[in-house]
Amino acid sequence: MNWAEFQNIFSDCRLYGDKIVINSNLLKTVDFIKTNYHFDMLKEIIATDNGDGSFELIYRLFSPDDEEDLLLSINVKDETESVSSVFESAVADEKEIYDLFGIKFIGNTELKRLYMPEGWVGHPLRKDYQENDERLKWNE
Amino acid sequence: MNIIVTSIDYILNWSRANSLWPLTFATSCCGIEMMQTVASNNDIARFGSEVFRGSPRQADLLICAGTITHKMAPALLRLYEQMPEPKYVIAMGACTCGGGMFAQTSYSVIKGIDKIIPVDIYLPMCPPKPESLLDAIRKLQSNIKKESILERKSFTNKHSSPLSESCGLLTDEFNVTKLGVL
Repeated sequence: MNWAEFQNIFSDCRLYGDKIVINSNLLKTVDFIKTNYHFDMLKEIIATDNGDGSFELIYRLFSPDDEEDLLLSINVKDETESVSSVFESAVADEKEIYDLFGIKFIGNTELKRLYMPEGWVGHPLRKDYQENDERLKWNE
Repeated sequence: MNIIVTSIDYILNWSRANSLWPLTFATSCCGIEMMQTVASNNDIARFGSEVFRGSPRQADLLICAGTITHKMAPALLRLYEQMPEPKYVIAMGACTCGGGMFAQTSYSVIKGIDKIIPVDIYLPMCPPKPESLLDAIRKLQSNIKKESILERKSFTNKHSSPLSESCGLLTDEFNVTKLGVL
């Protein structure tokens, strides 16, 4: 992948270790990487709570031609763009992240509970999550 | 009179204790040990319990093998309520006895299935060996052999779920109000 050419187009991105850190234009960047460099597969989306109200999302893209991984990192607040229009497999990943972290992906139509029961209050993998649901008192 | 009752008790309890049909209910790693118990090395068929049923309506024994989460709890309660009398429960593994290693910090695990359904035999360990499960079944059999048809009512009361005293079959509203979340 030609880094200089890439940086010409997306000027606000930088290389940090082995991952590309971007600040905005997530959908556009992912689309660009997929179209021009044939990273045709989205292996996974990793979400981390930074503890200060922001979340880091890492998209691991895979190129079957070169057999190489590419990490794309972005810091988001509560909501971000969905990449499900580019990679269809992102629908399930984003659903899971919404369930456990509460990040809203604009454009994903299937944002609802996946692992937690319907009607659960809060998103349990957030660092500020407190379990104080009155309905669950019997389980103490 | 007592002679007749005792004879009937003896035959009833003998037949019940030696043909306990378990329900296939394995929610996590204890299920592997349960499979091993059924397999030929340990051979649960020696105690008459080899017929694992897929339907709760044909089962007498619920071997709850594995962690129960909030999402699984309504299903467990529903399966238990669908089993016909007389029904027995073995809580297999530390998770079902009291939450196990999830008891302190987990947000999603039920801390012991005795909060949902009555339990006859507690079998802790993580997971129990097949021999332990066989021992639990033997203990349950010796408990069954002490029953009497004259104490049928207290037995039925003891074996109805603490959450479902007045309700018959579960509904979604029941789950929401009694179990907290569906």
